[in-house]
Amino acid sequence: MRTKLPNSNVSTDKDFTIKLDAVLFQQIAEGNKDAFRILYEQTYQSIYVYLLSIVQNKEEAEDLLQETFIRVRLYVDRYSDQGKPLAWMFTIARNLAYMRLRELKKKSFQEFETIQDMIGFSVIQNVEDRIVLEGAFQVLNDEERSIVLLHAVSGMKHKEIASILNKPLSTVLSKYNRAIKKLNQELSNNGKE
Amino acid sequence: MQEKQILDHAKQAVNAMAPDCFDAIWEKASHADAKDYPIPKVTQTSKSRWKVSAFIGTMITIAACIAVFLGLSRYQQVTIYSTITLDINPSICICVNRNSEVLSMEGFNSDGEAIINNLKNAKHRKLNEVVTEMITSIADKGYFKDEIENSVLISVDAENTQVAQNFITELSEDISLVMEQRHISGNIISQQLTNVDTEVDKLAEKLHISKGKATLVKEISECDKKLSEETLANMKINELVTTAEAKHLNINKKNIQSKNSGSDITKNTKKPAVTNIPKSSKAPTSTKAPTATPKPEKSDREDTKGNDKKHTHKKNETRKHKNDEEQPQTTSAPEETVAPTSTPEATDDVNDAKPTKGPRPGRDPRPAPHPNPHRPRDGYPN
Repeated sequence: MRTKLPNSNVSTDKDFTIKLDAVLFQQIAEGNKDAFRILYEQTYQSIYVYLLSIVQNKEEAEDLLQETFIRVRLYVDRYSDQGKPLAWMFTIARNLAYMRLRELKKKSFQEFETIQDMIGFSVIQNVEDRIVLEGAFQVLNDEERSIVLLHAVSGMKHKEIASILNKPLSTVLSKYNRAIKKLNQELSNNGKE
Repeated sequence: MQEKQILDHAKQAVNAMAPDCFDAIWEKASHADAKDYPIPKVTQTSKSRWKVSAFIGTMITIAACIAVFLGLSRYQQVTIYSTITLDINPSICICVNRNSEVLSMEGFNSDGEAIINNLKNAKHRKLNEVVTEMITSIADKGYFKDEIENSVLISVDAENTQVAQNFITELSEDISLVMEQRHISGNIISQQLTNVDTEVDKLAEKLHISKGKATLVKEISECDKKLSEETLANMKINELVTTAEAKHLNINKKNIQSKNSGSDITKNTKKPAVTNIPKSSKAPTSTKAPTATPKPEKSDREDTKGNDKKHTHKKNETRKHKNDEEQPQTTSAPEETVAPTSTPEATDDVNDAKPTKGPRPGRDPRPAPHPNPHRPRDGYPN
């Protein structure tokens, strides 16, 4: 269910780019649950898919999603308006994900591998959807997968993805093109089998 | 599967997996202490730092062992292996080494130089990355007009056909993806150049254009003496391609359809694939051709009814611009019309210097092919 504030500060342009501004964050800092819900609904899928592309496990990604948003809620008043709130949120998510991966590897390499094998695609009912997502996890590397899935889920422009991932635009474009090509190839091969 | 379908399926898949745990988050955050949830910063631990140091030490040792061969490697790094020219309106030449890393770039016009100046740290970057960034910049600066079909001419000068074809294939794909993302319709024309044709080099220098464009200019002017090289050099790539096709020069063209461009679909229904390479180029690629194209060869006409001829491929490892000396391989059945392969640009952008298009359907069937396909025939417009 989507909640809309009377004067919603979240707008999306025709390309569905997520736009957040300081006023929304201020409302969240003041404890406005509706404002936080708006932020959550606009961003949780993007952050979730980004986490999933790193940790490659559904349950871990869900935990990290909660951890990310809890920190956003707790530290929103300390976020300085530098014009990139989304990048700030993704940085938190990324760091949490890599910290978690390190912990898992330290714990037990075998357990780490087992966790990575259980991505959790079984919840996807649609066969074609599942095949495409499985393909993305099988043939793409971390960067390619993040870029493609962020573009698919959030509709972010490549320039925005480059800003979030702190990479040059040309790198994002190039990796995106390659990733689509690889996915196409993989899906064609699967279709032939 | 098309790109849009892939993205849609991926989005639906993620939507099915992504949990909506807002209430749990709000609840936890409302009672959480910030000390329990610090903002994470990823730093290296001492253990991993040691491992990195050991790794670096090992690599340095290995590098020292192979230092004897560095001279040869260095030579290969700085030696120009291939030259790629892009002509849109900006005209840019890129030199790459054996590893497809950019060594240098040059603009043949002020627009090209402006584009190059905007590229940051292009040297030693991968060719496809630089070209992607370049085309993106060109699109952002409005060089691709919305109403006019856009053309990108890729000319590759490489040591052999296979290398050239690889460049053409990869760059065509990179450029077409950028155009599709920007909703730009157009054509990507590709050709392989030879480095032995000094005439083209002289022409390029004389007309202050790229070697790729000079190649096209030379082919057209040899076909039709009424068109001066200076006139052709001043034409845009769109116009040159239209003129070349009007002269029945086969152009290796890949059509990019932008779904949201608003352009007339009927204009873009021309076959993107051609069966033969231009006289002076090697086997082109036509990655999205609706019909399979054999290794292209010289100028053979494309059937305007849509039945592309399948010509035998004549091996010609060294490019020559001796159009008149080569004979067509096929003895295809007479065509019913003589209308040249028309392009939207021909309809829209014909200027006085351009030849008129071929006769419309209804004309008498074309006679049997003449040994010299470029010789003006009776009744044919020039």
